[in-house]
Amino acid sequence: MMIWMCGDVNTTSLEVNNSEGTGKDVMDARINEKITATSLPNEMWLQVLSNLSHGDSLQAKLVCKRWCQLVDELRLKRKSKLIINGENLKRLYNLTEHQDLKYASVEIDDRANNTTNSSALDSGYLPNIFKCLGSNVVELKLYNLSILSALKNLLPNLKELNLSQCCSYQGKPMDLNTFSNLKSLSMPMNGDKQQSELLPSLTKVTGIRLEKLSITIEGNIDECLNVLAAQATSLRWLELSLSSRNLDLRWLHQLQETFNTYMKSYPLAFENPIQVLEELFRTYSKQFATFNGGSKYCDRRKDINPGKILTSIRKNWIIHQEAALKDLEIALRNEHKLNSVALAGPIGVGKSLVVTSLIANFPWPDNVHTYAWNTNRAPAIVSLKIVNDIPCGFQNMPTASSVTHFPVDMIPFQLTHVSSINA
Amino acid sequence: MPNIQLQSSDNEFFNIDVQVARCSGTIKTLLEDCGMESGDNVIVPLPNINSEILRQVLNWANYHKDDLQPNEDDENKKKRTDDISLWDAEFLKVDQDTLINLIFAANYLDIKGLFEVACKTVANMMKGKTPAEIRKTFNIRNDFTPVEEEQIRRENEWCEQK
Repeated sequence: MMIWMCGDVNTTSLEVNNSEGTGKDVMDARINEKITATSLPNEMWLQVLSNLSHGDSLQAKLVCKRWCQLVDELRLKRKSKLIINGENLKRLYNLTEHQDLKYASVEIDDRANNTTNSSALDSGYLPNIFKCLGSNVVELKLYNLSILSALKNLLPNLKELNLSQCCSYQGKPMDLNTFSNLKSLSMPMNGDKQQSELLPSLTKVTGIRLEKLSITIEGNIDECLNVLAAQATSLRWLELSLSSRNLDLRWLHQLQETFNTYMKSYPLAFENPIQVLEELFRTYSKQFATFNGGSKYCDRRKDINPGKILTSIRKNWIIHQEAALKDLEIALRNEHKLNSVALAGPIGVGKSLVVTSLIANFPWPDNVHTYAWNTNRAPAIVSLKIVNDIPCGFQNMPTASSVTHFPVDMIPFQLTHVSSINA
Repeated sequence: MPNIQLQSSDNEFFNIDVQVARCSGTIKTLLEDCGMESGDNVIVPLPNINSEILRQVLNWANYHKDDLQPNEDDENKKKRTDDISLWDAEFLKVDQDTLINLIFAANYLDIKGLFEVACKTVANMMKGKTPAEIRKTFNIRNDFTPVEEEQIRRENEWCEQK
């Protein structure tokens, strides 16, 4: 959940007034031929269109042929994504026979027909499609690990690989070093088996160096620690998911050791990431100790009381932030999905006051961690996520405030949505 | 503080502070390359920009003259269109032609801040609109055949948001 508190935003849409043909316009036209929407050069329209959301850019494609080409040009550079599934596979194949398809981001979703191994995606179509798409693809998301080996020589420029949703595994080790430009990797979220097919290739001395890694630690802690140690110097973003079911203090201490030993060379963005992390570990150690002894952390009767929190925030003279507070309230009411809050905005709009009220009224105050960073550099971020599968009231809430620069991509928490408001 | 003169396409002269003029990458480079930074009677002709637009551009530059230059390396940053400052939003409450001409002028003069904010404002004019509404807003002719239009609609179904 990210809430954007703004002091200087105005989203009022512009009143467009293009019907008034005053005498002045006519005169100007005589002096100097005016540029109109249609005569504005392409490179400038590209800049305008690059501001559109994905949905709006699809609408823009339907405006005229020129815009259609412009949006296609943009698509290569940014967010549009090609989803390949069993249904469009053949059509896409036919399309690639006749024209160039250019997508930077591709997702292969074969979940619908994954019942047998001989899914439609196993046919020869896929490699052929990627022979066409190939060098443009920088981002790939898979649901089926075995597809990866079929594509390994076809994606020379792959930078981001998302395997977090992969459930199946292929039964033999996969060398990720074939993707020599890989910078960001999300490991399968559940299943040691898939991870152990992938992890060994990440400890090679001469192998790829990742900047962003998302990894789940279950039974394979030693393997994971080796990978972290090997990748430590290049990592700028790390998300660890620990399953609370399997977690014990010994692991936590080993993890902490690894961080202390290898992660000191981090380009610092937090004032001190190690310190933040240590604090996290301290809190968790305390909590895991209390798990066993039984304490308020397992007291499910404790509820988040959004009304009370909001009242307290309002008492702190947070004014003109109704939209942000409303977002916060919705997030709090949806508590089982809430795992983090990031408050962004300029100085003096009340981010710290909101955090203070939140901590004071959160039923598990020890679980609220506040980060603050203000740097223009992309921060090195360590995010520790405890996957909560213990049926108790355990709640974890990292809270970020004072995000002066706005590295949306780098914020370690799940963003459900970003909202903005006027002050 | 030294001043320079800008000459608009309709031959109006604007006497402005060098610091304001340096908001424009184009003029800044020109002054530096030609060693005219301290010179007197410098006249910069701007044959692409009329006085009405130039006056507005200078108005913007005057207000923003102390702003820091935006970072160059943020091309990959996600774009936001709702971070237009109040002053800029007020400033850009102009008719569409003026807005388009401001984009053109800001691009020509290489004034990044103005260029971006004006582009965002135009993009905001398309938000949530249907293709037909967008065409009407910008007075654009639909040059698709129904078949072509249908094909793009179908392609649109394939790509989903990141």
